[in-house]
Amino acid sequence: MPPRRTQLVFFAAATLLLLLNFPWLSLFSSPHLLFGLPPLVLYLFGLWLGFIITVRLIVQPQPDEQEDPEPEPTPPLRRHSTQAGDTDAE
Amino acid sequence: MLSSSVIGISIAAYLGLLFAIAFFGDRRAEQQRSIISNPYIYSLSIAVYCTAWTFFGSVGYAAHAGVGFLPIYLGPTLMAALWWFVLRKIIRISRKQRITSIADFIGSRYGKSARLTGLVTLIAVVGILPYISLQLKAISNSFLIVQHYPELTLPVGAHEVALWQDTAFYVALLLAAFTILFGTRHIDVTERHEGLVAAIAFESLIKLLAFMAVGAYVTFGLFDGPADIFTRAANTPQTAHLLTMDALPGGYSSWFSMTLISMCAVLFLPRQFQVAVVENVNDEHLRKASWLFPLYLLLINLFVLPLALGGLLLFGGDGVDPDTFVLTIPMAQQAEWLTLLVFIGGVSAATGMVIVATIALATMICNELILPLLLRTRLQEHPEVAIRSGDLTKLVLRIRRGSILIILLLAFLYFRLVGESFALVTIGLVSFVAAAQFAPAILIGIYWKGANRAGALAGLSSGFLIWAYTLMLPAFAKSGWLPLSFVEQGLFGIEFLKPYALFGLTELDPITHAVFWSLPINIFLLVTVSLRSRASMIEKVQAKEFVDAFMDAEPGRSRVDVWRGSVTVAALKSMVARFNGVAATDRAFRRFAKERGFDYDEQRIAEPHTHLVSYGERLIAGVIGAASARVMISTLYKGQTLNIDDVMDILDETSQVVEYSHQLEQKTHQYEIATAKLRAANERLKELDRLKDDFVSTVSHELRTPLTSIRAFSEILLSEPDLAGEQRQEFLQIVVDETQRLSRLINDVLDLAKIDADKVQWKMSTHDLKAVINDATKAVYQLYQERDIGLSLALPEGPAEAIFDRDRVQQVIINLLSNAAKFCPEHDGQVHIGLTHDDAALTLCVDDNGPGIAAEFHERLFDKFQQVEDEQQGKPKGSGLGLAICKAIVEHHGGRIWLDSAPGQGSRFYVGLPLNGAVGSNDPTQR
Repeated sequence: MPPRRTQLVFFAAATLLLLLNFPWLSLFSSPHLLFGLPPLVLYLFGLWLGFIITVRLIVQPQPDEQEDPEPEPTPPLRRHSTQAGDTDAE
Repeated sequence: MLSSSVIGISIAAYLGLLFAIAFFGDRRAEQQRSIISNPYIYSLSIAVYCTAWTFFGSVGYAAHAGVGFLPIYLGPTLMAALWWFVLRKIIRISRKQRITSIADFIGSRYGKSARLTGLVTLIAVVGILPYISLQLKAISNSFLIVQHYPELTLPVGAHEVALWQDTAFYVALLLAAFTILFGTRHIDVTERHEGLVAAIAFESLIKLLAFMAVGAYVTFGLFDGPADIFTRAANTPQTAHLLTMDALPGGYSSWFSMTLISMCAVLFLPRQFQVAVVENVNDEHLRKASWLFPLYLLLINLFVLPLALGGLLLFGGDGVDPDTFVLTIPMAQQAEWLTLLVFIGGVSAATGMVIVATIALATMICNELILPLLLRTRLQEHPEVAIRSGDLTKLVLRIRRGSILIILLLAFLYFRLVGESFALVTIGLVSFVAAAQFAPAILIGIYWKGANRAGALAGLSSGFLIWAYTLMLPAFAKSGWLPLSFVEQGLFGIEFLKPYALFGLTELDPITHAVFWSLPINIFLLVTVSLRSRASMIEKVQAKEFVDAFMDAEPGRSRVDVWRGSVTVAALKSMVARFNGVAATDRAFRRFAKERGFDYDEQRIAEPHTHLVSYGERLIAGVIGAASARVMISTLYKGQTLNIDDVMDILDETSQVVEYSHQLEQKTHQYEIATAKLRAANERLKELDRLKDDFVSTVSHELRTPLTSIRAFSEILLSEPDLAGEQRQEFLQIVVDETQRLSRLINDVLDLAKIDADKVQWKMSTHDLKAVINDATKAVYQLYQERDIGLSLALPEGPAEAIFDRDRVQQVIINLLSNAAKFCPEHDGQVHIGLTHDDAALTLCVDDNGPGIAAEFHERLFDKFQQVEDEQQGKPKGSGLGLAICKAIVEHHGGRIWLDSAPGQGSRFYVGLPLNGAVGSNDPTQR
């Protein structure tokens, strides 16, 4: 996955963790019903479903995505060769 | 009518179906047509997370804590989003290291330490046993309830039933049989139990369907949709508080801590590790699983609150245990088939967990506890027997089967002795906190190389001890195994040591309290002890392997082979074959050799560069775990002087030294070149310095000689006025000659200095060299006459024109001619001037028949004040600057001056002048 979407997932998870804690929960902790449902239940399940959809959108492979975002192999070797080149130039 | 026989037949049919699925899955796996290799089955198998606790316990918990059950599922939802990064890394590492269990994983990370894997196994077994017993309790209770259909009778305490009448006992045996049949068919755990996973996924589907069926039935059948249930609940005083956060026993802190430990549990419970890591087929599946699994959790929790509230509204205060609502509501409504479905759903939830958890624990007990001990003691007593006593596969299988049976019987024992007194959720959470202790060692371990074995041991054991003290011992006390005063008054009556309020921390509920003390101390000790202690070499190697799991693009390229020494391939093969079978081993080695590109049949000694021994070790590790595999392989090296730590020491140094020496080699090479240049420059400077000294002393000497004679003769003339006229004439002639010589010398010195400093005004124009030669011969005519030396010319016809400074070139020729005259023998001397020209240059040759010059002087001859000394003749006349001046002039014109001579063969001085003029003709400073 591209780094940008990596950051998005982390951001989404952090946001959810925040929204699932005090004082957000206390905002919805009310005895009054909304469409016959408790606001707390609506909030929690709505948030949950929203998060699942968000993760799905972020994580699923995009058509343009290049497979395997591996870090490039063995950078130290390359550094050696440039060093050698430098000295040769001198 | 649901009779015992109907229930019995249903259960038998259900288990039969599971067998069939598992069998089918295994068959397809053998044919390489895996049915579990897709993200949906993978997600469903991870849903083994939802156990009987979810199925029955969530409703029971919601019935007194409202939404308090949700963190157990929200935590995993959060964690699942990060699977692509965290879990994928763990899977990659496990694949590479052939990890068989979570204990193996932690042990491998920290240097394949047997002590650490043993500790992890201990924590896992002690922590998970109550959880397994919870499942047994759920199955037997639901069986007892359904048995009395349609009457609602709550099961009596297990203490009052004899062992052979206890349903749970038979459930335990049945599950043991099932687990043994499908969990211990293969011996290589990393080859995965495909059939079993298929069965588990099927069970996840059944429990979801059953739970949603009963949820929908209650919500839409018994009530008029969710709004109806919630509205009625809101209007009932007993249930109204369940709709807000006020119902939570521990408040927000409990909510948070439950989220945290369930985040850890979904990855690090041994059974979750088993299905998510060990049984994973393809890590690409994580993409879908990271939202499918949360979706599963959402669905299975959708009806928990309606069921809990519905049950409370329907039964009122009838004393029906809310943990059984899922089953008792349809029973009370006489919904026969739904009851049966729910019962089977409950069984599937419980059996799925029990089977996977038992296999995971049995693998750990076998590989990390029993085998290492067995191997060590056996090796110490009869090292020969242990290795050569035939196929160890059977032994491993037997140990594993025995472990499964023992685990289930222990769980049953726990259920009979302790489990009675607790609700489902409490028991489950106790296990969660135990599993959460693995999180720091793993998560920190795969991202921070600095974490080492000592740190992991300190962190894990401290976390485990705190867990045991704050959660397990109080549970024993409540069951009457320990005095209850231990909980109420603290250890030895010390207030500060009360297990539920350690050091006076009274505000938190027991679970949050245990999390608060255990996890931070675990992390703190892991980090600080790691920082303060030194890691052994094998720990460093493993840390690098784990942390850089994604770096190693080319497998085995950067790997360090920890095994050095000579082991024959035959010995290695027979060792590995004890565990994997001869044919499979041979195949595996051949494939490995092919991948690594060496000829397997040519290998007699397992050479380090082939990594054959490490590969063999990993093959064995796939069967008996890393720690045991290391012991086994080390027996091959018995009697060889190096032990593994020595080798690692050497290796670590070597790899660093190799790196250094590579750089050093380059540097040395550069330095050598630079040094050579410097040395040459230094030599040159010394030479120049010496030349300067020589120059000064020569010049002063050359000046003094004529001066001395001028002074001497002048003094004679002055002091003896009556000298004969003839003699006076002679003396005056000498003074004049010497004066001329003096001014010539001074002119030469000035000339040379000017040329050297580029202060000469060069008058470059086209001249005919022939004319210049003629003029020069006229100038030296007198000299040649005096010495009676013949001078002949051989000039080409036609003009020999080139661009040069006429006076200077004439000076060169005169110089050469006078030199030739000087060295030629008087009367017999012959000097010949030749001139040739081609397209590029004119070449002048001055040929004499003098004594010749030895080759060793040729080079230095053109330096200042260099004169060829001859033992007979002594130092020749002249300043020694002539040739140096010639050279400077010729080179300024872009030409060359050289000589060809040998003693006794005369000398030939050549001057080459380019036709098109000097290099520095336009701008003399450009030289």
